[in-house]
Amino acid sequence: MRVGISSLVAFKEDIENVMFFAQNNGFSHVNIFVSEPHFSLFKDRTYFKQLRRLAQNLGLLISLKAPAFTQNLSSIDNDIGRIAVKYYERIINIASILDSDKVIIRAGMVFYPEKLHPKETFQVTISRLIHILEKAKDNGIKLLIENYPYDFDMIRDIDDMLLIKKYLRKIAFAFNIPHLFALKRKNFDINKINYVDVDCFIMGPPPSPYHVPYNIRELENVIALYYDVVKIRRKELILASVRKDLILRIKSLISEK
Amino acid sequence: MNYIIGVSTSVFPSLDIDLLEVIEKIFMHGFNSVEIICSYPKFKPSQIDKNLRERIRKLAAQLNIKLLLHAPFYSINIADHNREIREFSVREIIDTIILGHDIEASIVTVHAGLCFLPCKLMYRETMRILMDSLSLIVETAENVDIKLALEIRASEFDIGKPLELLYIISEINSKHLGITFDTVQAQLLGDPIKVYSLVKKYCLNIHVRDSRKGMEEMLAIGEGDIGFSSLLTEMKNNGFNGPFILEMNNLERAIKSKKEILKLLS
Repeated sequence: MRVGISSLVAFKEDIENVMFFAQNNGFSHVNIFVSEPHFSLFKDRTYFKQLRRLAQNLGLLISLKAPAFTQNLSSIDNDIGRIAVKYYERIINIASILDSDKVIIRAGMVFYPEKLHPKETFQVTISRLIHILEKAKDNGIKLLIENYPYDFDMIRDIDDMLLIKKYLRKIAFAFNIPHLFALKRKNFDINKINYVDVDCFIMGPPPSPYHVPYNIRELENVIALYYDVVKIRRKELILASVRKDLILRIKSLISEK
Repeated sequence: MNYIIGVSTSVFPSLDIDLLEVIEKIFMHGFNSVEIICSYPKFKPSQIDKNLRERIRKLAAQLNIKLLLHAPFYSINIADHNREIREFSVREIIDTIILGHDIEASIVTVHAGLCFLPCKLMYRETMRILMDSLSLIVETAENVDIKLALEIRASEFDIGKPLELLYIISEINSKHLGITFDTVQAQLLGDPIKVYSLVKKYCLNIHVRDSRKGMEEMLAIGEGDIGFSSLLTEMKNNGFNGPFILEMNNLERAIKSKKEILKLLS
């Protein structure tokens, strides 16, 4: 099974450094965390081509992760929606230059005005996702939606994935294990994962690999959940954390099992 | 003493309301101020046309209603590391200030910014970005003589803790920049009186609502755990006579709270 890392592991460093770290520690893949100033979407084409060459020389694959902290595909404000679409389009273009195979996105966030207009919110989200999916397909890139644990997130668990799949049959998912763990679902039927197209799993400290502080005491429980999932589906794994030592610890804990 | 006691448009939770009707309605219920939450889909500042602006201004002046605005805050982050988001956010707030000028509003409440992972890992750089954005915004506010009030925010994803706001105010150093104190946000931070004591010098506006401890609710005074009697006494002793904006989730709660607030301030 292939194991990659998120470039988040060296947020204050260049992507080049993450690539060397990945190669030295036996990772097959770097998932670039698209967030300024760590990774800018506004650099020129030459820079991205250099990154692609370096990854090829080191034998690494590249994918992109768009965290979308503020960009909101589900906003019923067209200006906000347009910014989110433009952001993902730009990321897909860069993914194409980098020869990436996939882009991981956040489906959207449902705030108070969206809650008051659920039908419109769902419609605009689907129509924007269709547009981005087509753009990704034209560029030979697989678009993956990642689950998030927050109340306002559009895609939180497998039921949400199944619902959106009714409208976007070709959509695939990046399944974030600590995010699922953070939902604290009881009597949760993990077998439902068989009905969604999971392309990769994301592992890191709870409640979220994209959050500090994190809860290190729960890490073993998250790994246990990962093993429950892996009994059903085996897919590529991406490790994500802001700490290199923690990434290596998770890697070794997973290898031990 | 004459107090300025108003309501937030949060008391009309459907957001599907006519602003002119709102002004008339709150006047009928004896309020002398209203804070308009500028949010899509109905009250996005750039979409409020000249004619409506003029009608709002005239009606508020005729009924002697003091107008305040709350700048947009959903998917808005003036401290964002992403240039497009940041520029959009600054533009939305500047649009709100211009709307404020056109309708003769006195105060615009603004959220200082959001603090997600990039902010947490690069806090200093984030604050520098925030200062750049705020300088532009404050310059506009100074030009049209509107006061900006940064709201106290307790969430870990918000910039807006009392010490952060005091730092921002000292750095920006403008007479047009102050603070909106929110009673529930203050309770989430600890003891509301202690929080108020920290920021009272810069307090331009108070959001009044009650909540149970550890919760973020929009209850009437007395329905939650905030000790309003001592808090309002502290405000009164500080010479603050409003605006007290009742930020409840329905008009009945605001009407009930107005009676209570007047009783406690008397």
